[in-house]
Amino acid sequence: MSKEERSEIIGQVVAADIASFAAQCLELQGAPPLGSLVKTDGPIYAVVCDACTESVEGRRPVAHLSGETDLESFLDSNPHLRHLLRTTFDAVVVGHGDGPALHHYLPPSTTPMFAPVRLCPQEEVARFSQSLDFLKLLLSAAANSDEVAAACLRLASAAHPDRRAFLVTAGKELARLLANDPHRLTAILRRMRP
Amino acid sequence: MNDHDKPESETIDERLGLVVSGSLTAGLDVRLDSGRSVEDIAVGRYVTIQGQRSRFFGIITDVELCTTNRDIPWSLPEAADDFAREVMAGTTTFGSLHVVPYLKVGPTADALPEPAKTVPAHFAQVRQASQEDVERIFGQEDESHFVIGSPLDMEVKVCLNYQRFAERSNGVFGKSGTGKTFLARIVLASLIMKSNAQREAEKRVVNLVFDMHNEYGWKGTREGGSGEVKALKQLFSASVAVFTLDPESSRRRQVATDAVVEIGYDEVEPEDIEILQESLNLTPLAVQAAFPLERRFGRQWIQKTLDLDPSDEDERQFLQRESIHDSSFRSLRRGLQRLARLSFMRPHTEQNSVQTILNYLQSGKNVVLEFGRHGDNITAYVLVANLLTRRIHERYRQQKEAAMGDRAQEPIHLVITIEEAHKFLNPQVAHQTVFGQIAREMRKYNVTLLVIDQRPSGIDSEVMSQIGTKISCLLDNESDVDRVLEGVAEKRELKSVLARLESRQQALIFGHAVPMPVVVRTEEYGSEESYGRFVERPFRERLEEIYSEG
Repeated sequence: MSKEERSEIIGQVVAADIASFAAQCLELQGAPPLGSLVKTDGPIYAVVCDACTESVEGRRPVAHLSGETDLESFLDSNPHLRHLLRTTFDAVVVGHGDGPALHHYLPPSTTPMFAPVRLCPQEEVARFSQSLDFLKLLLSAAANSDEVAAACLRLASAAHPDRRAFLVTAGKELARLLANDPHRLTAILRRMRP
Repeated sequence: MNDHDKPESETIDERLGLVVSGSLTAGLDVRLDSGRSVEDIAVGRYVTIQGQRSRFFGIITDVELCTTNRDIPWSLPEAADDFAREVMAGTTTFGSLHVVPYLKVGPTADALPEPAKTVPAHFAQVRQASQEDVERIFGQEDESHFVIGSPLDMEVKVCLNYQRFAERSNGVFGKSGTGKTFLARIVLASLIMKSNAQREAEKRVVNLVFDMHNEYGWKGTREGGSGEVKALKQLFSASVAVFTLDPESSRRRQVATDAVVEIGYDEVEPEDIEILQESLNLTPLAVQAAFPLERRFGRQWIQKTLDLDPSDEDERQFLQRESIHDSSFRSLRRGLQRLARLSFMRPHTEQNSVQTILNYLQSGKNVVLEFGRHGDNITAYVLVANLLTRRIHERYRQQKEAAMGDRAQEPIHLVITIEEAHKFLNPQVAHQTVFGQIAREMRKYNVTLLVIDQRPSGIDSEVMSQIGTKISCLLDNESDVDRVLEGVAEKRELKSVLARLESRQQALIFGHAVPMPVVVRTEEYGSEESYGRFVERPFRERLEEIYSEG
């Protein structure tokens, strides 16, 4: 079994376009952390930019008012709820692999439906974030892109031996991309300070 | 060794940044690499710029702090945020160098530097110039190059081209106490040394130094005023003669002089008085009065004017006939009386000072004329320097014309050194004095000037434009700086370099004898070792020559 396959499947793609996809988590409340690097078959790499737990019927659930505060034990005592609720997350596509090569730009086609989504292990995060070209894709993604970029770099820095050096290099890349928007730049920098 | 041969680590080490914009006229803007701190950069340093085909040499003339966006200064995080500062350094905030490209060297190793007529392309790499680079531009000391100093922060020597230096008039400028005399002494000693080493007679030069403060003849005061240093005669006893206007002062200072110069009243012409108008406080009409008086009395005009009795009827009629007003006459006479009181003035001398000096010069001996106590008397200095130079220049002119292009017959090239040059070359008198004429006609008659001055703004701009090589110590008066840099293409850039020189032992050299402007730390002068540079080397070279010929 290859290293990639060893990493645990956390969800399945349920909607996809070229630049992003949505996946449903296998576990309720099982969404990967904001900013984490995930991959699907291909491989296509993406950064988690949003997550949501909601009713599968589209209606808003009704509060149970039982006084139980631990969610897991509440679900255990009401097992049907696990089928009525689901957790999904959105991810921004930031690159793809082509054989041994990594490309930090959009893949030629959308992410396949129902493809399994895995969390990238640290070594893969380190390898992918050797190049910071993906930051441009990340910054141009929809709402909260600043928060996502900061979270992504914070998480990725843990995969590098010199955390601070990585963050400084990434910060410089951001500074180049956001040369015309210093307020946005400083806001992101504040969020990723080591 | 060219760049491609160098190990990569070395070339990256010296790299300062990349050319990002600029023009030939305005200079280049170089974006400093993010790893480089502006604090390690200094204006006046040399850089090389590797273009696609050629290599350029330039000088850093300004350092600037830039931001990519004008909002950045207002959106910066608190000063304590090291992370943000580290991120922004070299990206949104960066250092920028202003570099003026001066020279271009072709791709081949033996290509000679030529003036840059274009600029390197975008993103050309800018590096600190290496010792070899500087040596390649400023030459090594040899028969035709003499050492003047070292560039800042470098151990190599900057050499002036002897021949190019001697073929035009040159200037040493700098405000008082910045080491002009010190520099001029090095220049004169080097000229004498190089001249002695020349095999061809037409390449030799002799110096005539009007030594206002007795600094060039036998000994001078050390820079800073404590102790003494050897001057020209001690270094080159066989090829320097010291003349004096004040034998008493020379005796007191224990200077062995070769001759005493005296000036007869009959050697002074009205033209010599003209230039003294200001220092003798004469009215313009009083100066004009000298001409009819000379016409009437001939060479004895000064003595006769001093003896003239205006109450005598004949004399009064003469003055009236020549429309010389009584007040003008009195003004002139007062002036002449002041001249007559100078101790070297005699009603008549048998000795012909001009001829004596000329004989020395023609035999290849350099002449230093000490002014003794008259050095503080600007009237005496201007009178003697102008009078002697006028006669000597006239003789040179005759000889040169008589030679009719036969170089062997031409008089030996003469360099005349004058101090307080603005007294001779100010716009009011530059057209009348022989110095103005010499400066303008360049080496037409084999005479050029070495002017030493602390107020270059007082020098006529036409004269200034003819000065070939300018050696300037610190100047802080705006108008002085402007005048020294007048007509220089990179005036604005050099101005910032000039204004930031240290007040001692640093000079900016630019013009004919150097391929590009250079800031030097002047050579050490005053120790036995430094004298050895002037004395031992020619001797050793001669010995080597004898052995190699044998």
